[in-house]
Amino acid sequence: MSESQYPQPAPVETRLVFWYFVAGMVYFAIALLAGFFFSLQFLNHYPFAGIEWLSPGRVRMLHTNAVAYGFILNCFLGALHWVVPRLTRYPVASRGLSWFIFWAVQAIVLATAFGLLAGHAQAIEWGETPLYVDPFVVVGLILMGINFSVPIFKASRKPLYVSLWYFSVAFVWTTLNYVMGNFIPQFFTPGAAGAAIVGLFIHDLVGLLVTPIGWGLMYYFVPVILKKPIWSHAVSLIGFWGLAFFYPLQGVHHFFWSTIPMFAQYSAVVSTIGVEVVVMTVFVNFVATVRGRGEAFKQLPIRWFYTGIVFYMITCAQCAYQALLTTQKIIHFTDWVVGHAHLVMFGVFGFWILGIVTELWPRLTGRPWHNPSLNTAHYWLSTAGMLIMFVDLLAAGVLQGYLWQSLAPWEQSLVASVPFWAWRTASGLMIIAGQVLFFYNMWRTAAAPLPAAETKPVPEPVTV
Amino acid sequence: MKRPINIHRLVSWLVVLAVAIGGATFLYKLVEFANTATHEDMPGFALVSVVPYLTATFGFLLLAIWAFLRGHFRDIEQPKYDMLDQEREYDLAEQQRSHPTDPTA
Amino acid sequence: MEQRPVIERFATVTLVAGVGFFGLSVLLFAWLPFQLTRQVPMVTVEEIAKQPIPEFYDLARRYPEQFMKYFGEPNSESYARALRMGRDIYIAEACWHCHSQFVRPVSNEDIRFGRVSYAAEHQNELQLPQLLGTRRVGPDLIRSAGKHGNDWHAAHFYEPRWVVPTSVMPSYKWFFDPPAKPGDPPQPNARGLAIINYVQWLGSWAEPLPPPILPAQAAQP
Ligand code: HEC
Repeated sequence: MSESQYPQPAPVETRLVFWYFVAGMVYFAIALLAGFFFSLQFLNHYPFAGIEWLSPGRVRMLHTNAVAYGFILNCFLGALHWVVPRLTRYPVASRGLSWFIFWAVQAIVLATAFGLLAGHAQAIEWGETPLYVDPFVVVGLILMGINFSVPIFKASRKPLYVSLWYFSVAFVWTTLNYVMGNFIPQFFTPGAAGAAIVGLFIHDLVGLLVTPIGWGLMYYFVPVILKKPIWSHAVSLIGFWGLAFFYPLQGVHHFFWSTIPMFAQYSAVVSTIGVEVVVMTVFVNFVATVRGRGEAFKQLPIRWFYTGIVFYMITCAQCAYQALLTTQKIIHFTDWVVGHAHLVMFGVFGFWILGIVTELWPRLTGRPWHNPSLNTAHYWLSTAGMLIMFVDLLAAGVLQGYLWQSLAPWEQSLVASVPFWAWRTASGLMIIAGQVLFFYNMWRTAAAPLPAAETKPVPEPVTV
Repeated sequence: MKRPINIHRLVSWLVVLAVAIGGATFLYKLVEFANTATHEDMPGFALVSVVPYLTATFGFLLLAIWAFLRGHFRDIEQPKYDMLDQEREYDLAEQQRSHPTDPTA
Repeated sequence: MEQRPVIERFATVTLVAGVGFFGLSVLLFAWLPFQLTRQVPMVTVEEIAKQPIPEFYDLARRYPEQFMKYFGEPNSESYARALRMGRDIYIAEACWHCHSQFVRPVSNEDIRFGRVSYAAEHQNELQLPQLLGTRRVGPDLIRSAGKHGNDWHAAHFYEPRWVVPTSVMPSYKWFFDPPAKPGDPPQPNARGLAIINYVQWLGSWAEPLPPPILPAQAAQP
């Protein structure tokens, strides 16, 4: 314990974390609905056919953007506002700035949603944000970077914990990446060179914003909940530097066999395989941490986290051979890639976020969970739905790839895919059902009367 | 007499098998790469895809070695203990407060 | 003297990992490809529009009143306008999330779609930003020119299942004006004309796909 007799509470702005999670969950609900409706188009039962503003293509962009910027970014920012002050012992740069960023993010996401539905999209995958919103996004990212960098900078008089390494670069990368990906292909580089840059942008958005923050959060929450330090801090740093080096170099693997110069395509293969080595170190580190703590899986957050970690391992193992030029012949352009993307965005980062919310919601509201068994059902419905969707889309992808190669009429690949698309919609409904239970539980918890203050037992000292 | 299956040994052998297969395919790819780099229609072209990586990694390695010789990384595991100590302190502080925060109020 | 941990500090991490490594990726994967493709000159829409495609004049003949109302005379100026507008609709409706615009040299795509894509065909103003695409629900479109007639496209955009019963492509009824008299077919409006023109332009620079060789013909000497 430091100078004073009584420990000081963490400089966390709890209300802000709470509202970030609320906003994130609202957009999550919108994203789920948008995805569900778009999937109905593939069964020719799109409910809003003929309504221009709800054209399926536009709803698809709403789905992906609401996931990335509405759900994942909001929830990550909420979690960062919890974690960064607790790790650094300093509050974020400014309380007013934090709230300003909160409202700016909501305004930007709403403007994006409006722009997409009104038909102002920009043809950059994951960056469909209309061109007139882009400058505000860049300013917002810079402000976020400043807000979180100040406490990290103050804390770096001592060697930093690995989570903070990840957090300190995520916003630098994303600002640079956003400027590169949204403006250069729009104004300067058409065709092949433009595709190379858009590939970098697509990949870096996942790899240099979502992945570093996600892993940083895991390096915090897993040891804290297990009350056991991470297996090896040195190995986690190898993971960090490996990610930092290899991840930005892979973007071109989104456009294999295109007119992008071949040296770039070969290099992307090499670095995609290279990053798997790095991912293995991270995976081993987490498995070694939980080793001998089997009973910890009774705790729902740990279960979410480790399911996500295993899914992460699966997607990355998939990446390594998905990014071979040979495999690309068949699976590129198919539903295989769609399955892969869903496992990464929901099965990994979505699961981690849901685990974090499951852990923090009672502490944020000061109330115990309204009904913990709803949370268990939420976990099982989400996991089962996710697994079914993943396997189903992989199978559909292989089928489509071989049908196209066989020169069968295009319509045959559609007819053959319909059963798979029906299963996709069904598994999506499972996931939605799980989230409905969770939203209901969150709402009932927050709306319950505040329990009388009780004295909880003081946690055991950490044994090292 | 029936011996019970030793699950640990089984897993270990499976891992060894997987690594062996993976290693063999990796070696195969490496040989293929060497062939491409020396024989294809544009000898040396394949090297373009790895030379920048090797150069950059080498530079980074030098930086790390320099830092190690200057005495960094000696206490590399310390932050993970500090972090948990701090967390325990914050948990204590939270419990000493008379009322939990109520953000919905 | 106390050692200051340089590597484990904020500034090193942000500079080396944040800026340095990102810069390396930009150098290798953005700047180098840009330098390599820069030798191919970028074509503006005005240059493309010097020679409108035959399907553009066909649209003017097939839907005279609509065409007059929205585009005026069929000439280079109105053709450029239609191309730009068609491209914007292609982006706004996210056609590029269901269709790609490049033919790969693998997976028999040169037989299915036509000539394999080459860098110069993407080197024009209408590919800012590029529309190569990453998913094919429907077929590739970069060799669409002349594959179907304008009337086929009109019916297909109005209700794809009228021409391809198993299609899952959305219908785009707002590309059409309601018929003047009940019972008349709906007529494409500015957007309908523009998107048909855009699709017919795609690949108009490449030689058409040779007719398929049927086994019976192949057997003959
Ligand atoms: C939900 C995905 C989807 C969207 C969005 C979509 N399409 Fe399609 N498209 C298809 C499918 C599937 C086919 C194949 C079946 C058919 O011909 O209708 C197709 C076929 C086509 C064809 C015929 C291709 C050929 O070679 O026969 C054209 C042209 C076309 N689409 C243009 C467009 C345009 C322009 C848009 C945007 C306004 C668009 N599509 C949006 C799925 C889509």
